[in-house]
Amino acid sequence: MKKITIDPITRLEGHGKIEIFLNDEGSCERACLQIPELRGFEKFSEGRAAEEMPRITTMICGVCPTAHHMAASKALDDLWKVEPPPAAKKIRELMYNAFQAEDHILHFVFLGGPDFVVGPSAPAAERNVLGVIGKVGLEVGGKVIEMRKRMRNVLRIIGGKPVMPTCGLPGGVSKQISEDERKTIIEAGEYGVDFCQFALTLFDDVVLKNKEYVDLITGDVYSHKTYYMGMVDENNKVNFYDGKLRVVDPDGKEFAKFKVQDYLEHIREHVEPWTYVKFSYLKKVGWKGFVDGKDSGVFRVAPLARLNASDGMATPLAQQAYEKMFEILGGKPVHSTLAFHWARLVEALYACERVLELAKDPEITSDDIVTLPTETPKEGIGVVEAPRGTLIHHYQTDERGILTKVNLIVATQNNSAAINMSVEKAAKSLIKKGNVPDGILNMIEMAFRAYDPCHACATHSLPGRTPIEVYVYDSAGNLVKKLER
Amino acid sequence: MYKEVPTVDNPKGTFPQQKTKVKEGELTLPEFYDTVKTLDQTIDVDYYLPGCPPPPDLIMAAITAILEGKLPEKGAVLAPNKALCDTCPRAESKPEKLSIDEVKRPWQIKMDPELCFLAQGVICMGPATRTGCGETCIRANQPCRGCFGPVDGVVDQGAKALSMIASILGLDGEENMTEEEVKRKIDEIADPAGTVYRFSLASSLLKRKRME
Repeated sequence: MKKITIDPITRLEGHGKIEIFLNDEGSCERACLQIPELRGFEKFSEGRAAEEMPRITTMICGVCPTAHHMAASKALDDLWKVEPPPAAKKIRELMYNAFQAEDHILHFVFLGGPDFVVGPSAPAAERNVLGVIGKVGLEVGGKVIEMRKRMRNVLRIIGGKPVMPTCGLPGGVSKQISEDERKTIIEAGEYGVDFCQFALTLFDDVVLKNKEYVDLITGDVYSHKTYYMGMVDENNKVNFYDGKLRVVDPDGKEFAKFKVQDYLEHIREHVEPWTYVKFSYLKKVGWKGFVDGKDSGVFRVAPLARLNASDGMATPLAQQAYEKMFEILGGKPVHSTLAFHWARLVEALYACERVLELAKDPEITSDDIVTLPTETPKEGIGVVEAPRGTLIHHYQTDERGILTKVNLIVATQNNSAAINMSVEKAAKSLIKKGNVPDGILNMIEMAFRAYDPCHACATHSLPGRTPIEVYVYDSAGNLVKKLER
Repeated sequence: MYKEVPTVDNPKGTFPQQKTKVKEGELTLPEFYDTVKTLDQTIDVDYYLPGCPPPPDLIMAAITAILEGKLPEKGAVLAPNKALCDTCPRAESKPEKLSIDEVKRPWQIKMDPELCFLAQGVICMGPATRTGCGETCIRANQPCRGCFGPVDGVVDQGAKALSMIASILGLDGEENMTEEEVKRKIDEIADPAGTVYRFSLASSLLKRKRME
């Protein structure tokens, strides 16, 4: 069978390759997205002091370190059974939303956006951020950079630096926000809200008014009927920092709602021999393979899933954008994978509105920012909604708080089954008679790009044993013995 | 992690292989080494930009130097050749004679945002770490963890840090301590290896954990 390889895949975080097997008629028989990288965090974190995890797990990924920092900080709260003071929670949530905003915009402009703004079949050399700026103009390009610069400055103010923040502690944060810093953050929030509204208008002009793109979004090539999971607050509105995990079925009905401490009853991982990433699925439905439907435990996370799993957005402008999206796409839940790009912009707007809300809160400059732990640590689980989906850190320690076991369920791995399904469906639908020009290959890559995958995060884990084959030859070159494990 | 982790359901004990035969053909994955190597153990390195991550101003300075053709001699580290303490905003609060009477982990006290961490009993890698980062962690009120590596001439950053810690740990009254008391004092440090070798294990004299 003829094999086409896309290696490496581009405009995502991390590594991956796509193998497409063609049959004799030249159609795609099967496609697999393999992740050839592996990090090892769950193993080498054993023996580390638990309080260092917010600073160690940031090293999983340079794009979304703040997500790990926050999940780790919350896991530490649970580990030491300590409640951060209200101001500390607000500071953390403020920082977290600034991060969500800039990361989502990063993806839309630098990673996924080029496919729409420049066009999916445009020459490869133009399908990048420079091509986007070429299309939208330098002034708009400047606005993008300015918005992210300001938001990342908020991260620097609160966490020390925009990449690899350091302020998380069990029971709170290490640094308070000054009055001057608060003013800077408010200005960043205002700029962000304006920019995100502009981004949604841009999406409207460039994507929604283009019939070819709308057909692509609403068509069947990029669509799967799966379950959806996202974190919600007590009103079932999307919240990135804290809340319960809610799952809806492919018809949009609530299937489960649980606090993360019970995650073992709901989430399981499946292993395949041809990739280092593990595949999450719903325990109560079971693993039925890479298939759609109510009987399959495959679920999706991240922007579209969060909007599907919630009852709305907690801030006014984002709520309007949410309503508009579902109205145009024909109601909830939306199964169109490319709608992830749209939902991502709605979430970015919410994140900026939330930054502004929290920055204006009088408690944000308080000096009561940490509650010192007094309990003996044993086990702690923390959850946040990373830009790329639900992220869970689970730690077990000895009485001194030295880690004995670590389990990470990382955002993109929750989408890894769906990503594979999306890539294979695109390959099967688009490849005819062995005809695979560059534009078609890119359209297959678009199937994973909508999820904004982070493969460094997804493959944080290490196998317990490595397979080895040992061949023993004598001096004449004859095979004497073959050992395997 | 494909077998023991509580969420994995893997009754057949499947784990990723270098070569997998499926109905349609063969799929391959790269293999892994058992020891982490540094970049300069693997390829020829011209210059070092330290930091995790390297800060924007140092990157800018490096690119400018390349464009202007004003690079130092090959093998140089493109950051100041001084320890963090030299530029630390808390330097003045660091006492002449430093003694840690009791090691404090970052969550055991409310860390003072202006006082030298070592003076508070909190282990900080500053004295064993090159400066140039802008002391970003210190300014977020967190101790240094050594991501810029050591200054010139130091072969093993972890050993340097341990030596520094040993010289200030329990200095007051050290002459009267028994072996047990000394050991107990050292045991107050949570995870010494993970603290002093976090960024430099691959380039250290030890290179890795002992293999069985």
